[in-house]
Amino acid sequence: MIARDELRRNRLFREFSGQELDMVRIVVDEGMYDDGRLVIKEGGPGERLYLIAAGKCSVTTQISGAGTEEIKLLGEGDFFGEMSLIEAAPVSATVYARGSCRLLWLERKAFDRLIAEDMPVANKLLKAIILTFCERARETTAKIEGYYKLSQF
Amino acid sequence: MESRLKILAECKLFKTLPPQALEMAAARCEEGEAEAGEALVVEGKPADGLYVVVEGNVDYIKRVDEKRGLVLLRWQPGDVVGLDAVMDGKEHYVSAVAATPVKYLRFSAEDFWAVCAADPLYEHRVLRQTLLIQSAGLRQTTLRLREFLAKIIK
Repeated sequence: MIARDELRRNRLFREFSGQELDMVRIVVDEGMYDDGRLVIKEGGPGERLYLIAAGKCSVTTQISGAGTEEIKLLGEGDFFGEMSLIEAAPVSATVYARGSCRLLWLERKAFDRLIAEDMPVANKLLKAIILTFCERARETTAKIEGYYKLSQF
Repeated sequence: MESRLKILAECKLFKTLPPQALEMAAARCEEGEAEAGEALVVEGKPADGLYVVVEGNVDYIKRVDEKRGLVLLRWQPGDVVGLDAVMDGKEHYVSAVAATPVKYLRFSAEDFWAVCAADPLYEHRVLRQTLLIQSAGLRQTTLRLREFLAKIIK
């Protein structure tokens, strides 16, 4: 079973008590991903919330007329795949392992149970995702500003 | 009060709240209007509240230099403006400007959190709706990002 400390290193679970972490530990799976291995594919069904326990993952997207571009590099403590679970929509970007990495994951059913069964636990988890979304929105908007300026040259 | 309740019951952020929570929210918000071109929230300023769009359209504008701004998203009646900054307590990263004459309901950050704090269920439902709103917004801004990236690469 995953150690509590390992889960707590992920930004989703930093505010969780030991007992709350135990609720997560019993439903988390883990696996090693070699360099370049596909984790999730843009447009595909999103069935898991992934947590990066060690290593890095590259978030890429298809740019019309230009091919594949990396839009973000995620590292230990980050997570991905949550948007599809929340919206029940297709995956919005492709993610590959960059170097060897160790991933933990929650299947959709486990995620849904976690945010439905225990209200205080669910609210902590939802707040952690919301704060990450705020950060992503700030980053994306700043990038748009940068790209816009570059596109004017 | 009656009309506020109806508006809140249909708006994306509050529509899953039970009637007693909607009544509490309706009592804690204030009605307002903005002329076209008037800013509801200003980029770089601290979060002071959020706005439920009742009538008209509101643009999210990112400043790119002293004179110009990029319209990133357009919000419609039922949408909520200024939510991210209230959530993370940081300054607004875009301005929200009335694209047409706008009517709105405004919640101070304090009043918004007071409604959430009244019951874990209220907070839970608002947080879940917040995630849906944020997720949809992120998908749209990511599309804009791709457009600009494609322009640069070409």
